[in-house]
Amino acid sequence: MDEIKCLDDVKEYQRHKCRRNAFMISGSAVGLVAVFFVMLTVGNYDLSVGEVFGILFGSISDDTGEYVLKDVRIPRLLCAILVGAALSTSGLSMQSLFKNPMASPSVLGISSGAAFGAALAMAFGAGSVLGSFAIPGMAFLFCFITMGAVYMIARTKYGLASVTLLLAGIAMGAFFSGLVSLMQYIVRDDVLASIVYWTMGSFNNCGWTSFRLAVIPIIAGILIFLFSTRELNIVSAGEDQASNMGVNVKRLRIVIIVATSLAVGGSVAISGVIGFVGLIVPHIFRMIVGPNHAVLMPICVFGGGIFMVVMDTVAKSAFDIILPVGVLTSLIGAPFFIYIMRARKKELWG
Amino acid sequence: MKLEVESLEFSYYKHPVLKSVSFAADVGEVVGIIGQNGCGKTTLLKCINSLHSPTSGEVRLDGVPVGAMSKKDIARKVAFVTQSAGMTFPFSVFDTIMMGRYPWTDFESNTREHNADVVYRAMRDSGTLPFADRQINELSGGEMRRVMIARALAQEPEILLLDEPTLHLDISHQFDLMELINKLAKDKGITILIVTHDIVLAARYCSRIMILKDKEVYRIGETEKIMLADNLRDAFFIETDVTRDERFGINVLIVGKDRSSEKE
Repeated sequence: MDEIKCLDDVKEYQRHKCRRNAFMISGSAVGLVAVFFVMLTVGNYDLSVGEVFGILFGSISDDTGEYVLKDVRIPRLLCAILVGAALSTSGLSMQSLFKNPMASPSVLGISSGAAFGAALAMAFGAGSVLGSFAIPGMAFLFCFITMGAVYMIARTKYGLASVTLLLAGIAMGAFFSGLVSLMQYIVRDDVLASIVYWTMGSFNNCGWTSFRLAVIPIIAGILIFLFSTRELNIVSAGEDQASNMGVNVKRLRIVIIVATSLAVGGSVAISGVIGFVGLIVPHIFRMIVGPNHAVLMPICVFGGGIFMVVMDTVAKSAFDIILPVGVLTSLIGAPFFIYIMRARKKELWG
Repeated sequence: MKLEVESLEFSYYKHPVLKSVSFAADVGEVVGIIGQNGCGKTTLLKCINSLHSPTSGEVRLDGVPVGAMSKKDIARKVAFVTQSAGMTFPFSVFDTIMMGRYPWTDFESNTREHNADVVYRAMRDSGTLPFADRQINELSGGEMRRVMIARALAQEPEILLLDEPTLHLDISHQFDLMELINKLAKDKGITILIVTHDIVLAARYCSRIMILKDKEVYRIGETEKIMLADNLRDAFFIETDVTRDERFGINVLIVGKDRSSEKE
C-alpha cells in the first residue's frame, strides 16, 4: 500500500491488513480440507476422490472401502492433523515466549521428556492401573517437568539467557534420551519394540482410540495459544518490554508452559517423537505471512496439519517400506531448514 | 500525574545500586537524570516502572504504590522506552506501534477506530508515518528509536520514562525529539523522566535536573540551579562554562575535560 499520510490512510491500512489476514487464514483452512480429502485417496486400497465422497455420503456401497476410509485413513489423518497443529503452534509459542527462533519442542528437549514419560508408562505397565490415559498422562507430566526444568535452569533473577536456554534444552533432551536408552536396555523385548516405535514417531497405530485420547488435550492447548496471540506478539520483544506494556509475563509463561505440555504431551502420546515440525512450520509460515501471531497462529494450526498429513502420506506410500514419519520429517526437514536459513536469512532476521 | 519516590533502595545480588533515593515529579515536568555510567539511572527507571522490586522504599503514582497495581494498570499510566528495542522477529512498524494499545485491551475505548486514531497521532508526532509499512529489522537505529517512542505514546501514558532517547538520532532528530518531549509535557501534562548522557540537551530542554552520584541523589532542582560548573565537575570531573543564550531563551553548556581534577 502507498505511504500512510493521514488518519484515513491508517484506517484503510488496518482494513487492508484485516482482509489480507482473513484471506490467508481461510485459504489455509480450505487448503487443509482439500489436502485431507486428496490424501484420503492415497494408500494400498485405490480410491478416487469421487469414490471417497461417494462412500462417505452413502451413494457408493463398498464395505472394504468404507472400512478403509472410516476406520483406518480418516482417524489416521485426523491424528496427523492434530499432531501437526499441536507441534507447530507449540514451536511458535516457544519461539516467541523465549524470544528465540531456534526454540521448539524437540530442540528444548520437551519431546524427549515426553517420550521418557510415555516409555515409563509402557515399561511399568502403568496402563493396567491408569487405563488408556496412562501414556498421555505421563507424557504430559514429563513435558511439564522438562519445560519447567529447562526454564528454571536458563532463568536468572534478572532475565532469561537465550543461549543458556538452548543449552539447558539440549542437556535435558540428552538426559531423557539417555534414560529412554537405559529403559530400552533393561525392558522386555515386547516393551522394547513399543519404545523404539515411540522414539521414531509414527501414525501407523493411530486409530479412533488414539484420536479420542489426544483430541481434548491438543485442542485445549491450541485454544490457549490462539487466545494468547496478543501477549505472544508483545513478549517476543522480550520479557521486560512485555512487562512495560502491561503483560503479566509470569502468568503468561505458566499458561504457555501448561498449553505446550498439553499439546506436546497429547501428540507424543499417540505418535511418539516427531522432530523438526515445531521448528520448521512456524518459520515457513512466518516468512509468508509475517510474525503477527493473530494471523500466524491460526495458519500454523492449518498449515501444521497440512504439513503433517502430507509427510505421513509420503512416509507410508512413497517407498517400498512404510517409514516412520518422524524419520522422514527429520530427513527432509533438517536440510530444508538449512536451505531456508541460508537462502532467506535477510528476510528472516535482517 | 504526580510521581513520588521515597527512600528507594535496590540491590543486584546484594550489590547496592541505589541508596535512599527520594524525589517527586509533578504533572508536566521534564526531569533529566544524569550521572556517570553505573550510577543507577536506568535501574531507577526500572524501579519506577515496577520492572524491579525495590529492596526497600516505595514508588507512588498519585499516592498509589506501584507495588499494589497490576501490570496493565501501570502500563496505562507509565510508558518506558528502553535503550534497546529487543525485537527478535520482523514485525511491521505499524504492528509494533499498535502493541502499545495492549494495556487498554479491556476498556470500552478499545475500538478499532479509537486505536487507529491514537496510533496515527503517535506515528505523526514521532515522525514514523513514512515507514509505517516497513519491517523493523530494515530500520536504522534512529528510526527504530522513533518507533519505540511512538509505541510508548500509543500507550497514552501520563508518565513517560525515556532511557537515552536521543541515542542513534542525528542532531536534527535529537532536537525534534526533545521538542516533542517538551510539547507532550506542556500540552498533555505528561510527566517525563529522561535518563541521558547528553548534558547539553538536558540543560536546554529539561525543567529540572537530577544528578545521581555514588548511587544516591547528589543534586536535584531547577535546571538553572543544578547545571552549574561546580556540580558538573563533582559529578563528571569536567569543566563547563554555562551561559545564557537570550536568542533562544536557553542555557548553553560549553564542556571541556580537566584531567587534573579527575579522581584516582
